[in-house]
Amino acid sequence: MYSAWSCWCRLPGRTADAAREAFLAPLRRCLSCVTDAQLYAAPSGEPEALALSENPLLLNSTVLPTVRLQLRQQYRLVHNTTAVRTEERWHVSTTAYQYRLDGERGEVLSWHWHPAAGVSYPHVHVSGDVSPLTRRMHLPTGRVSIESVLRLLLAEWGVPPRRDDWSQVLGEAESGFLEHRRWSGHSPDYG
Amino acid sequence: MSPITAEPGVQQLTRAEGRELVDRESRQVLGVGVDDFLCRYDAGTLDLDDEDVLGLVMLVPFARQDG
Repeated sequence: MYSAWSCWCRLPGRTADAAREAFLAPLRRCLSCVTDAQLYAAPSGEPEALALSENPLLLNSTVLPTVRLQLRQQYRLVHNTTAVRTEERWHVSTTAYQYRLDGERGEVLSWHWHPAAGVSYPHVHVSGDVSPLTRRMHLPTGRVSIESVLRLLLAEWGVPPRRDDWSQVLGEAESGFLEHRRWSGHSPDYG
Repeated sequence: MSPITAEPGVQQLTRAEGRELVDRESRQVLGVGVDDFLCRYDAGTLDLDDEDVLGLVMLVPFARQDG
């Protein structure tokens, strides 16, 4: 599930392994703000993928009795043969994501970007009684990062942080993402 | 499983472990094993508007790692 035109980029590296590490390590650090669950990685496929070891991940919240979190991404390692700096020869490009928040009664919000599978633009699904919206609508968004979903949980959904420096950790990780991303949004094509 | 980064908590699943992960979720979501799921995925017959199915599809690389 990937598209040639579509990618976003995290920190580059001198080798494929270095770029993968530069991609995964900040994510794990961000996840440590809410859980001690592990990140699973499938590092030798094309594309590669990551998922949480606990699925869904149960979190306490002041907004809902229980929040269930699912985070999944697919990504590719890209070799930039024209890079001038050796430390920028490889980078990771995200090719699809699904971030899902469930409550006791099921899905509440799901952020998607899966351009090779139907809808080309990043979007969100909103469930529940929010007429006239229906769950099947694809509401356009910009690119959504894992960090921003975690920040939402911690800052507005009342999920208790596991570390005091969570805001700094998320901010540092997201700044790297913002610095190296290749695009920030994509217009819906209703053709 | 072996760590692939210096940051604790990232685990590289082998192909067998990845297939087991996908097989488990495929049976929950579709009621079929990993091989039947991959056949349906390749045939393009899955309903990707179904949130559970999309989540399963996101795991495909775990079942299709090299080696």
